[in-house]
Amino acid sequence: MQLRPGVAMAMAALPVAVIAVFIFYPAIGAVLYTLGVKGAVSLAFTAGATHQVFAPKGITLAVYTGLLADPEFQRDMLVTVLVAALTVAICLVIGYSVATFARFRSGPLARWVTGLYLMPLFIPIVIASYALVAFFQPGGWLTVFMYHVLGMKPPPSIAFTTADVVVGEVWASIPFSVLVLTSGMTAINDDWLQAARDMGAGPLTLFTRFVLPLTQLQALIVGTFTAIGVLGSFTVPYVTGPNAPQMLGVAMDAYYGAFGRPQQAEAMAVMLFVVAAIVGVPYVWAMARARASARRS
Amino acid sequence: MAAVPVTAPAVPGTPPRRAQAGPGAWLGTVTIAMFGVFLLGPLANLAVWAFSQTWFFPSALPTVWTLKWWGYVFTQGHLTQAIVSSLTLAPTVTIVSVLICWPAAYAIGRANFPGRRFVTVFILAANAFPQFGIYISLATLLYALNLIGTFPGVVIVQLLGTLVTMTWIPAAAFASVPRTLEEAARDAGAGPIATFLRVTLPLAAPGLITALVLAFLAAFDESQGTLLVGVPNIVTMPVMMYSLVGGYPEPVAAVFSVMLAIPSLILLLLIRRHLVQGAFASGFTLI
Amino acid sequence: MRARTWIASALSLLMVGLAVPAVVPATAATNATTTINVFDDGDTNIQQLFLNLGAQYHKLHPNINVNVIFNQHGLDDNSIYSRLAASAQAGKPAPFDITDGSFFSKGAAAGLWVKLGTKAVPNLKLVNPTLIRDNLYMAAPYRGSEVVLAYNSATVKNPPHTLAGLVNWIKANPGQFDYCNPSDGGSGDAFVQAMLSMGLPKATLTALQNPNKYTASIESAWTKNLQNLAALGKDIYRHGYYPPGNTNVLNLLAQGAIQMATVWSDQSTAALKAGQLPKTVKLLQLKTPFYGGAVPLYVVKNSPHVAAAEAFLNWILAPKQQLFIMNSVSGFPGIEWKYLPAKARAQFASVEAPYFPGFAGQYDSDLHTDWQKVVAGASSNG
Repeated sequence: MQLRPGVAMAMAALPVAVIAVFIFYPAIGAVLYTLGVKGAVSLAFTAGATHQVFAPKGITLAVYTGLLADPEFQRDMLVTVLVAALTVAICLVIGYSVATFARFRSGPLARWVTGLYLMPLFIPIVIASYALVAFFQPGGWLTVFMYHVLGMKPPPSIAFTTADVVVGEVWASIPFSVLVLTSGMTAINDDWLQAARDMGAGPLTLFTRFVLPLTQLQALIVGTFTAIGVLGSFTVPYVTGPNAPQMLGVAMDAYYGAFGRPQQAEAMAVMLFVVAAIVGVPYVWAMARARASARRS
Repeated sequence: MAAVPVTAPAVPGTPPRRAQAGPGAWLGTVTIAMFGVFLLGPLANLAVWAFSQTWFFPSALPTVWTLKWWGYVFTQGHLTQAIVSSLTLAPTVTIVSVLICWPAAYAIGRANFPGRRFVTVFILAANAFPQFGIYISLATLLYALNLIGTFPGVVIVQLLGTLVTMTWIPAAAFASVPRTLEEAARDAGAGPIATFLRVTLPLAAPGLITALVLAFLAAFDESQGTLLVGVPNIVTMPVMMYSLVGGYPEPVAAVFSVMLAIPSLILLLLIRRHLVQGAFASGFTLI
Repeated sequence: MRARTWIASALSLLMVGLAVPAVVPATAATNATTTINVFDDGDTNIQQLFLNLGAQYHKLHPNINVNVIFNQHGLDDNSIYSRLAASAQAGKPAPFDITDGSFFSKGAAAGLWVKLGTKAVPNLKLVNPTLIRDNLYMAAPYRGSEVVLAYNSATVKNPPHTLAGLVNWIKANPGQFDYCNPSDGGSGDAFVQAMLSMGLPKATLTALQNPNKYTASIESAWTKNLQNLAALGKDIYRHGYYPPGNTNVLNLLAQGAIQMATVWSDQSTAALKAGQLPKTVKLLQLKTPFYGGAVPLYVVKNSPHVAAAEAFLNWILAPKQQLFIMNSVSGFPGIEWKYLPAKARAQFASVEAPYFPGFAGQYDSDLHTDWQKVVAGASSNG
């Protein structure tokens, strides 16, 4: 049925209203707190905190400048972004491998493999982190394998390093990557590929000249959403990661609790949000462009 | 609405041509299999812990097996109550999410109205703000609204995590229903409601069901917000169990983990086919 | 496809059916029963302790239910504390009545706890008055433990008995010792405090231990020791990996990944009893002991059941319950040893010791922050 714009707007307003009340409004309070506005959050909460900065009038950027000048924060921010970037890169590689495999091989194996790669989606992240530590830590199956089969004594372990964090994040992000890229592949017409093959194109050429360009939007989707998810993650780095450098999700939690500096923690949350927003820009722009061109064609 | 400018997308369901077998394909298979080990290995390792009595390095398997941890877990009195809470909350949240998001999804997917793109991005942006950062303000607000410690309060908190999936994916699902089919139904004399129920809904079903399941899982696994709002009256499985994962002894945590994963895995088996068919991914090519 | 849709629909309807009774608001419980909510964020053995204590109390007072809210390691303490602070601000009842949570100092500064007196809690008289004063009269220690050195006697033939000796051992046996992140566990915190206290003049130490006068400037006294601790990091397990919690360190010890660690006496004794640590693991206390944790139990001011909570606290301080606690978690009493039944006291004679106090709670935040910056930051893991 055709919707009148007014009705459509009313319908669309529902989730917007929920978000405005329960996320946007509290977020404003939090942001004002980071800008040094007294009373923006509960006094009982701020009374026990330390190292707070309140502006006598208006707002102050002291909390932000303080954090940005802190070398530890700079390093944590860098590591957070790096881990996100690495995770995206690896997920794209694995995602394309599985998607290509599933696309060009029909039959139960392909379906089974794709189903396998969806599994992490259904394991709660806390359990996944714990399972990953159990697997990669000294004494876990990987080191047992290295000890008995590869004869490494003592077997090395990547547990509690940033590498382990990347492994954990990749583990959790693979299903999304596989899903989206698989879906992108279905839009590639067999006839074109056959024509190209008839003209002598090898598999690598097919991939770089056909598959990649035709799925660039999907790749962008994978990149954006995976990155946003990894940027703010807490559980995986907390359970599997090193003490320093920390991902910002872990640092925020520490500043809030053990370090007794909630104002700094809130400021970190705001900055993370800004970074996530920046990451999202290419996606929104590419979508708008694609939609505009689709409408024109 | 596909955003990729292709002339004729492959008809779903057509088997693709077989690639030539050869060493390259073999390598692909092996690589895929290795990744499979990487995915399954940790979970299998964990599952074995749930039955282990004594297990020290460098044994590959426990030296002494036992079932006693499972009995121990069920003697934890509040577990059954937590299970009931989880199983009543998650469906409720899913239903509320349907009521709030699906009309918007329909509008976004089918109509052009001012602010359409803003709405889509706004909903996405809301999920990008670390939830942890708004706890204190959210708790204050919910106290003011008298929602703390109440079932509706917890529903709201769990609802927040489902908004993106329940708006974006159904929007794409509704958008992908060919208007021609609907017009044909109208021409045949069906009213708008009948058309919606008999034509639109079934065709959009794969995406809708996928969204439903994902929303259910998001609500089911939610712990931090539930703790914020629900304690002490409302305790769900994750709230109870997450605090025990990583606890001592390791086997107990492993048992809890296996138990928490079971509902999720059942759902996975149910909707595996729909997910793979691309219903999920089409949601993100929306704006 | 159709069959699946029907199944999905049927399941949904079933769920709705289950959900309806839950949505219908549960009317208030009968006025006769009171529920006391206990919040605990320690390890799982403490959760079990409170569950047992709660069951016993309920048997004695059938009209009182004790509900235990547990959150291990305080992983979600942010949620809980936010909730508590918001409730106090809003003038609404607190989500729990009594707690031994790790946010005592924070809340004390914000005035969230009840000042305890001997009128409401007569058994306070059994507690060492210094400990009560140290808790700003807002909490009573209900159990204790001390941090000790655990070592694998199969591989470590001559364990050190002094802190200096321990440091030398660590340097001579790189990668075989570990302690947990002090922000996440007291066993690591105690080690860090001991290292920071090394060589400090008595006056400074006393000032650091005094909760009634917080002077941020004296924190500079620990800078040099902190650097030493950072330098020691390369000889710590995995060149400076400090696990997020007491339990994780015990697991490392159990796995044989390390041979020595600082651990809680109660937790490790219980683990030895349960066979979760190899029998070769032994415990010893250094000449200058690591600090003892006299864990404070305190009542929330805006709790709806202050009197009932205080009565429960009082009951927990009674010698009979104290003995039960000691046996349950292999710990020490919160009350003074002399008030325990003579037979029990004889049984524990070998471990009876006064508590060695740590730094006052107000210094914790900065200690943890500085440790993270200097010591964790030096680790070459990355």
